[in-house]
Formats: sequence, C-alpha cells, structure tokens
Amino acid sequence: MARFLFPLVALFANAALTALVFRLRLRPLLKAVYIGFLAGLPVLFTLELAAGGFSWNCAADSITYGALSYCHFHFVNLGETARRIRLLRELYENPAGLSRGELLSRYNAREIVSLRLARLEGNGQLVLKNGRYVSGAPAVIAMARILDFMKRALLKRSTGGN
Amino acid sequence: MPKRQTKTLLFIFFAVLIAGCAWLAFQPGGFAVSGVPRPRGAWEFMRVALYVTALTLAYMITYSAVEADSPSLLIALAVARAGENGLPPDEITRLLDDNALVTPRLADLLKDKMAALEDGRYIATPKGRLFARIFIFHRAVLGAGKGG
Repeated sequence: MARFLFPLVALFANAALTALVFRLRLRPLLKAVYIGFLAGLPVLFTLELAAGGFSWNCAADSITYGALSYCHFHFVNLGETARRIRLLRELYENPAGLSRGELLSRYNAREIVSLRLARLEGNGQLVLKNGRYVSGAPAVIAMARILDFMKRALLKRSTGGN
Repeated sequence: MPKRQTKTLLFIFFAVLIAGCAWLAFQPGGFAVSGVPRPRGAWEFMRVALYVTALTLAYMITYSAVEADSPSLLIALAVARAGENGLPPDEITRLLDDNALVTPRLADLLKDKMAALEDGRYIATPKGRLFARIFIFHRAVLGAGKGG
C-alpha cells in the first residue's frame, strides 16, 4: 500500500468505529467521536511500523491524521447541529419547495433554542436555578470567548454583532 | 473582503500547494537548515498534497465556525454576561428569534447556490440536493435523527 494512504486508512477506521459505537448506542455521539479518534492512532502507528518505523514521514502522517480527524469531528457535528444542513434537508424532502412560513413551521428558532438548552443543560454547561439559567462548566464559556476573540481579529466583528 | 470568502481562501491555499510542489520538484538540494529531506517521486508528492489539503480543510472549517454565530455559544455568552442572576428560558428565546437564527442561514444557502428562491418558495438546487444527500446518508449510517 502507498504510504501516503496511511492517514486515510486510519481515518476510515476512526469513522467506522465512531459510527459503530454510536449506532449501538454504546456512547453519546461526542464520546463516540473521541473513541473513534483514539482507535485510529494505533492503526496509523501499526502501518507506520510495518512500513519501516518512525521517521519524518510518520510525524507528517500523524499531523495529517489529526487534521483529517478534526474535519471528521466537524462533519459529524454539522449533521448533528448545523442549521443550514437541517434547512437543506427540509428543502430536499420537499422538491416543490417551501415558503418561508412553511419552512419555519418545520424548523424555527424556538426549536433551535430548546434543543441547545437541553444539550447545554445535559452536558452541565448550563444549570437551571430557580427557573433561570446560570453558567455551569466553564469550558463552553472559554470556547465562546476564544471564538469571539477570533471573530474580532479575523472579521472585525463580535459574536452576535455586526 | 471578497463576496465568497471560502472559495477565495481555497483558491489561495491550493495555489500555494501547487507552487510549493513545483518549487520542491525543481530545487536540487534538501532543506539544508532543518534537515528535512526533499520529497522524491509521485507518492511523496501525494503525501505532501494530502498533508496540505488536510490542514487547509481544518483551517476552512475553523474559519466557517468563526464566521457563523453558533446558537449554543450565543446562549452561553448571554448567560455568562447575565452573571449570577442568570437568564430565564423565555428571555433566551426572545433574544434568539427566527431573524437571528434562521434568516442568516437561509441567506447563506442562497449565496452559496445551494438553494434558489422562486416565486416566494425556497427550492434546493442540484448542489444543495447533493449536500443534503451526503448528510442524510451519513445520519442514516449513524442511525441518528434529522439533527439541527
């Protein structure tokens, strides 16, 4: 096998195990993705060892595998949470098209917010106290602030602003 | 800023990849300073191409995440800004309405030519239908619902 294919083989193992773990409901989707990533690493290193051991190529393949796995994580996440994909899916299922009102009756802000509040509360990132949400785990806040900083630096605007 | 930023960034990254591979193919020595050997043969150039493509896609995905306002992060930021008092669910729903969460994504679908607006109706284009099919297939493999 051509050595440049090793990261792709490891990625395939990663994606297959992610699908299997989630499909069998052994773990939630995010944890299934982590397990898939970890499972791809021994596949990659076994192939590298069999092909002559560790070298510059192995270091490059590890970075390639890491970047491809990051893309895989986002691909899975897009299917799970992306509004564009969900809207596209509604349009796909209605070949004659949908008016804005019809689209909003199938997928709207109330549903989007309700799904996310449930996820954030389920992950402990928000806590409901006396009927009000307060911050829970700091990780999501840190992530929000990092993205907000990057948005200001790259796009000269803030999260939720213009 | 160019109108279609993703397309422009992809063009820049792949132009650099092609120029870099051409330079590596024609320069005689290795990287004398770092000691990294020069790629030799088609397979090693394929490895370089895969390496650069993987990093390019990772950058593009991060850029897209920065570009769009994630509802989860908007909620987390709003709650964090409210401090110890927090926010009631109704207030969060009022802050994030259809105009904030759905309208910009519909505009993106039109801009990226994944949907078209005909006689007041949104219709998926062939490109949009292809994207939808890829995700429907993947969600079916996972045994997951519609998502969103």
